[in-house]
Amino acid sequence: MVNEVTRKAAELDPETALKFIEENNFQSMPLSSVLPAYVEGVIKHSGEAVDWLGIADDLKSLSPSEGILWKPNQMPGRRMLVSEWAKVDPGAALEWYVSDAEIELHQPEGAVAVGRILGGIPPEKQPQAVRWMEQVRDQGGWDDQLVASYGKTLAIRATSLGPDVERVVKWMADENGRYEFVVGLIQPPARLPIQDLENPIFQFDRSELINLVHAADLPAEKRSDLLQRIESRNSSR
Amino acid sequence: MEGKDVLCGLAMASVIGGAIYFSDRVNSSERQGDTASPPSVTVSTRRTSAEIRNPSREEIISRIPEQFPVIGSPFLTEELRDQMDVFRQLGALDGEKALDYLMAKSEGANSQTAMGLPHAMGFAFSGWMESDLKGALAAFEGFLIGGGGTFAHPGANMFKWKGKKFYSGMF
Repeated sequence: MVNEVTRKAAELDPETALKFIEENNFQSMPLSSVLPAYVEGVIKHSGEAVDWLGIADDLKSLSPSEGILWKPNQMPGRRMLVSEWAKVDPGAALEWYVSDAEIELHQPEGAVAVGRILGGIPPEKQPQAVRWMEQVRDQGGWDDQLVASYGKTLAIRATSLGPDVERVVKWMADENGRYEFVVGLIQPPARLPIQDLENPIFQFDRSELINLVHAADLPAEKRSDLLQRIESRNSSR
Repeated sequence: MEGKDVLCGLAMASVIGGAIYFSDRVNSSERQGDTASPPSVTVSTRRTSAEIRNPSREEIISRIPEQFPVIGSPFLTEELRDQMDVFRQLGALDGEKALDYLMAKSEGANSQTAMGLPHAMGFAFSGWMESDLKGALAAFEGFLIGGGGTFAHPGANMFKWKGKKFYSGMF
């Protein structure tokens, strides 16, 4: 409930919210929900003119200086900030996040975190997101968990796939990884609050999944298995 | 306590069986023909802006559930936020009196309502803030109290309103 009060305060007046958090001297546990709420409120307050780096500075100033201290990549609110920023400007947001949160893209933990952010970027900004991934790849790459995590997030959040996703799946070095990436999109976890089991709704259509299967460049056996899964899914509608 | 978490209803769709299909890449015309989406079954609980603009006190009170929702995560779904909006509306209309009302309503009530009280009051504060930010935040001072031990710091899991302490176990 503290986060709701904080979120509303930040939405109405960020300075008052900042003072509210400071004066309450919240420790690590309450702060872990208060800071994302602060970020959410300030973004809503700012409308089209969000000062992303200003919010990042606020987060640093609000971090506890004693007790349980966070590592840079664990600071609450930072994930919320980069996820929202990346929806507007993926390249700038991710550059900031990787640097400021000291993310190691060659380590699974950092790769998974960044993959989740990339997968949550809306379709109209996916070309920019994938361009950023390509730059990182050219500069030395990442742990394949980045692409796996990107695929898992797409399965939950995306409403369509396209050429950008077809490019990304090819970047996974591991054949099984590419196979699992596609499987996760053919039969994603249900995400709708209400789903009619007689007529299940899938967010990705048959044709874009088939294209993804071919883009994954898999041996014939695995390719056939994936195509069968697509047809099984569609025939049960 | 026998409080139940409010769960968002998610159904898993599993699909088994069907024909085998082997194809080369699908061209754009096939894509278009294949994209007819099935009818949506998602039911929106969001009310229209006209409905939520100026509801009367009686209308708001009538929509307050006997069992206050218990929130198990700091990150609210849209559905849960909609459920909690009635408490915000009450706070926006009545300010401090809204908190008194919720406190009184929970006294002697079942455990779920008692567990849901802090969140209901949080949303009432949120509504109050819309009309009097500084006043509501001033009233919020002292609302959070520590519970001792690990939870000794304000904001952990103990709350107090006008001298009465209550416990949530959640933030």
